[in-house]
This record gives sequence, C-alpha cells and structure tokens, in this order.
Amino acid sequence: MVLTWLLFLAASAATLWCGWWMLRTMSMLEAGLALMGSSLGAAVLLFTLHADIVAAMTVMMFGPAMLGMILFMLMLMEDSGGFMMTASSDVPMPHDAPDAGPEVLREAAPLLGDISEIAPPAAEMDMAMTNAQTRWGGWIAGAFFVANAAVIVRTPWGGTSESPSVAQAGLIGAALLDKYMLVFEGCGLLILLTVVAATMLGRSENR
Amino acid sequence: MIPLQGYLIVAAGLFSVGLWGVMSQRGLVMILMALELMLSAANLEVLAFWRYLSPAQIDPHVFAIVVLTIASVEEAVGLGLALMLYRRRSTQNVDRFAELRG
Repeated sequence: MVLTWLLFLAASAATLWCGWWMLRTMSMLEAGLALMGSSLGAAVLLFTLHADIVAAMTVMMFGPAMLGMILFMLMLMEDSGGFMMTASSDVPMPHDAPDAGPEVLREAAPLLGDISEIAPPAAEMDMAMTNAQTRWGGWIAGAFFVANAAVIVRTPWGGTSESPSVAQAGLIGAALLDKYMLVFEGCGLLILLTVVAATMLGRSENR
Repeated sequence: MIPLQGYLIVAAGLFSVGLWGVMSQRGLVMILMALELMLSAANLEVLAFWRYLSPAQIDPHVFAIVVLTIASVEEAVGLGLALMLYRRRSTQNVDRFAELRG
C-alpha cells in the first residue's frame, strides 16, 4: 500500500517535472530526454493502474519516437545544445522588447563575448525558444488546471471495488479482431497513409 | 488505494503543461513535443476512469491504443512538415510561417 503510494507520488512528480523541464530548458537534447522521462513516468502511472499493455506500448512507442525527435531537433535547431542561450542568459531577446527590433540584439552583442567570435551570425539571430505569449499562455494553462482541479475535487466520482482482469492481452486482442476490427484496420490504414505522407513531405524538392 | 482524483489531477497538470508549451514555444518540433504531453495526459485520464469506474470493460484500452496511434501519426507528419519547412526557410520557427501560401 505504502509502496504503491510512493510509486504513484514519485511517478507523478517525475512526469510533471520532466514535462515542465522540457519547456524550460535551453538545450534541445535535454528537452528530448525530459520528454522521454515524462513518458516513462506516465507509463509507470499506467502500470499502477494495472493497464500493463498500454503502459508497455507507451514505453515501446514513445522511447524510439523521442529518439527520433531528438535527432530532428539536433538537425533543425540553430542552437540545439543551448550553447548560445545558456552562456548568455542575460542577453535580451526580441520578444522581451518587441518594438526594439534587431537593435536589441546588436546592443546585446558585446555581452556574448567569446561566443560572438566563435559564431558571429548568432548575434543577428533570434535564439529564443519561447514567444511573446509565454506569460499569458502560462496564465491560461494555470487557469485551465485550477478549473479542472476544482471540478475533479468537487465531483462525486463513485467507483467500484472490482479488479481488472489479469488476462488483458487476450481480451484486447479479441476486441481488436472482433468488435473493433474496423477501428484496428483504420489505424493500420492511417499509419500506411502517414508513412506515404511523411515520405512525400520529406522528399527533396530538387529531385 | 490511490483515489481516482489523484490520477485525474496529475493528468490535468500534464495537459496544462502541454497546453502552455503549445502556446509558448516557437519551434515546430517543441510544439509537437508539447502535443505529445497532452496526448499522454489524455491516455492517463481514460485509463484512470477505466480502472476506477469500469474495470471489467476492455473498450478504454482500445481507445488508448487509438490515441497512441494518433500520437505517432501526428509526430511522423509533423516531423515531415518540419523538415519540409526547414528546407524552404532554413528555420523551424513557427512565427515565420504566417501565411498558408508562400
């Protein structure tokens, strides 16, 4: 009982903290690892709910998916390691002063010090990972959470003392091939179309 | 036993963090990652309801599997789009993509 509570609290804290850290870190590599940690925490929570199959699927699907994400981030980000940002966190960004324009970064260039010598174009580049909506977006998300929490706490949910079946895999498999055959086939078709679409999108336009 | 409310509050928190990420991040890949958090929260909520309200049913598992499929589809298409946009504009900052055409 105590162990279940400890597992729940640790997994909840890890899930939420990793999610928050993913959005706050300047390093894209850390962000990818944080998302992986958050997914792992969610999978542990699913294990504590006895949803073993979905928990295992979450780990198996999100793990490689996050590695793919990290790979893309390293390819696409101007500052994937957060080197420019962490080394000069006091450099003002354009969203701090939207009207100032590129002058802000020009004024900030001396603060970059040695970094500007290593990568001069960075002084002209907007390296911030967040936009001007960060503050009010936080307020909206916070208000959303408070409203949700109020509804969750005030609603009498009821509940049952039944235990879930231990033979979930067989039951899920039977449901997928019987009652939910169309859904199952639809998911397969969707994945096939996605593979084709992703290939088309990723194809070089010069060919 | 851990109350249902505990799982629901964690799921609401995770969803809110994802919502904040979608609203505040500039990188397309980061927005996709925030969406993953929101889908993860949805799955947690569905299975928490299953465990506490109707553990004899198997249908919520199928729903969760569909959500996982949608998450992977969103990620694959999103990364394909990110790659295409990066080739065109050399950036994945969504603020630079203000037009549907061009």
